[in-house]
Parts: sequence; structure tokens; C-alpha cells
Amino acid sequence: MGDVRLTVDHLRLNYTGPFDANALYRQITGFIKEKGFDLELTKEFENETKTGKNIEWQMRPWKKLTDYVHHIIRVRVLIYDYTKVDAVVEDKKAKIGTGKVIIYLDGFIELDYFNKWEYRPFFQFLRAIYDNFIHKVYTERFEQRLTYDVNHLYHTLEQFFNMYKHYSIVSKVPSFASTSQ
Amino acid sequence: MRELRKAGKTVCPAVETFIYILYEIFTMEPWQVHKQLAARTSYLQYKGTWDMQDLYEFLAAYFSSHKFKFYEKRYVSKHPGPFGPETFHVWEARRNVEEYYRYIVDVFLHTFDTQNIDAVMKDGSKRNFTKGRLWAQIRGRVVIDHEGRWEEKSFYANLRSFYHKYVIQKKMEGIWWDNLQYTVVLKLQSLIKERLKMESEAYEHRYFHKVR
Repeated sequence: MGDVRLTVDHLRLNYTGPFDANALYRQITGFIKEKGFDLELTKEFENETKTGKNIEWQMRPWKKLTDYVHHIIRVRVLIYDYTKVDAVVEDKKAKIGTGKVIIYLDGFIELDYFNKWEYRPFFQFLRAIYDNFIHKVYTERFEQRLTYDVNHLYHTLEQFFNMYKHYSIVSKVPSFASTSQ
Repeated sequence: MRELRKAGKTVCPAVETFIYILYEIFTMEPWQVHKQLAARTSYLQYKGTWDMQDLYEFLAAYFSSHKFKFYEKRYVSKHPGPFGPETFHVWEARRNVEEYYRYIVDVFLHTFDTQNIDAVMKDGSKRNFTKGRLWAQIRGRVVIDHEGRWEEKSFYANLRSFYHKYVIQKKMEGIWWDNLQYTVVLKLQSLIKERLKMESEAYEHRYFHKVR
């Protein structure tokens, strides 16, 4: 493994309320695709419990920027007690999921991912000199780009959850609400 | 290890194609010259109800439609425990894409704490479902020079290394591996999720390959 640096450390997003898990999944994977990352799914767990579904997704999108630099984002989504409920949106009946979500985002930058400068201490020393002094401006720029991407994803997810704020969950659908589907 | 060195073979197991060359002569570790490009293992864990027969038929049909030969390598059914029986399915699908490389997809299904339940469908028909836990692992790999034609002599092995490293490196990583990963493995994973009606049934990366 090359020189892996933790650039964005554990951004956390908590949300409790109505949302659609499938739409969330599509949102994340769609964002990853738009940004030119390759998707890798490392965990895909779904357990049905008495209180609802417990879901865990872990993705590790990665992107090769150059032959030397590699961006990795780790997205971990934990959903608890996810159940389907009735909701009214703009006077229309809709079936929507509700539950608790915790999302963790980490950003890693991997330098020398081909491990060309890994196998001798002297080469590692040279690599450190190169990264921290000679190539410093570019290394920092790559880190900034990764930070921007991860924060952008965080912001997108915040927007996604804000969208659901105008959903009102009802125990019984009122008579005036028409079915949306 | 000494015997290997005396025989002029490398002691580095990672560098298979350099087996006839002394490892010590390299100032740096040689760049990985693959004989096999492995995709990362995709995991899937599910607890709920599913139709095992349908899943099995679907997988077999999927591989058949993608020109793979499907083998059931192992079927292990353990004696039922207090929560139900435990079953291991080890499957392998192979496709000789060209003379020089082949795709292999390994599927490992582990079901446990299972119970058979009968469900009445909307049309009144009865179907048998399985309720329990499912643990699936899917791993694809591209095996290059699968017939071992370039392993007879050290010269051939070096020639192959050169060929992989300088001539078809991009093709191996960018086309063969991508094709397997995105159009077979990830697609299969998402289709299984769809079959199990999981919440993450989406296939956003279907346009990853062949577009960029």
C-alpha cells in the first residue's frame, strides 16, 4: 500500500424522520458516478427486525487522478428501524419510509498507489521528500479537491434529507388526499 | 526457501511471472505483472424471506445468458441446529472470452437459521419461501494465459511479463477487468438485491463501462 493520508476525517450526518432508502442509495451512487468515481460496494447488509429494517451499506468509491495519486471516499450508511408509513405530500397520499440514519464520510488520498517507492526505506524517504517539499503544491491541491468532493457529497445529502421535511406522516390518510401513484 | 534460491527461483510469491529470476537482482519490487486480475469481493447480507429456488434458477439463467458455464462445486447441508439448517452453496461460473483470457466468477452462498414457509400469492397459488439469513459473496477474476502456454520456459515467462507490463497493461486493467467488474459482477450483485427486494436495489453504475 502506498502512502495513504486521511484528508477528511469522519464527517457525520444524523437524520431521523421520513426518507426513502432506495432514493438515498440512488442519490449517493448517482453522485459518485457524476464525479467520475468508480464504485466499490464493500458491505450490503439488510436485516428485518421487529422494529423495522436495519440496513448497513459501505461503499468505497475511488478515482485515479494521475499515475501517482488516487482518491478514496469511504461512505458508511447505517439505517435503523426503517419502516414504511403513510404520508401526505401536497394533499396526496404517498407511501414513504421512515427511520433513523447515520452517515459517515471519510476521504483518503493515496500517493504512490503502485507501490513503486515502497520497498526500500531509502525510497520511502525520497518519496516523503518529494511529496512534502518538491511536489508539495500539487499534493495539497489534490487534497483540496478531495475535501471539496467529500463536502459536496455531504451537502448533497443534507439537501436530500431537507427535501423530506415537508412530508407529514399520518396514522390515517385523510379523505381529501388523493393517491399519487 | 534456500532450495528455491538455489534453483534460481524467486522467493516472492506475489510475483508469479518472475519465478525463474532471482528476486535479489531487482533494486525495487517489480511492478505487479498479473497473471490474474481479481475484482474485489462483493458482500451481501440479508435477513428475511426469499425464494431460494427462484434465486438459484435466476443465477443459473444469468450466467447462461452471459455465456458462462455454471458449475456447482460444492453443496454442504449441515445438520439442523436449534434455529434451523445451515447450507453452503459454492458455485463457479467460467467463460473463455478469448484464447488468452477467461472470466471466472465465484459465488458463495451461505444460508442459515432457515425455515421453509408456505405463502399464498394474490392469485391464490401457493409458493414455498425460505425465511432466515443469507450471506452471499461474489468475486470475479480475469485469468490471463489460462492454458499456461507461456510458462514452459523462463524466456517465455519473461516475454509474457513484458507483454503484460508494457503492451496490454491498459487493456487488461481498463477493458477486460472493467468489463467483468461492471457488466458481470456488480450487475449480478444488484440483480440479486432486486431479487431479494432489498432497499438498495439500484444499478446506477450500469453506465460506467462503455460510456467513458
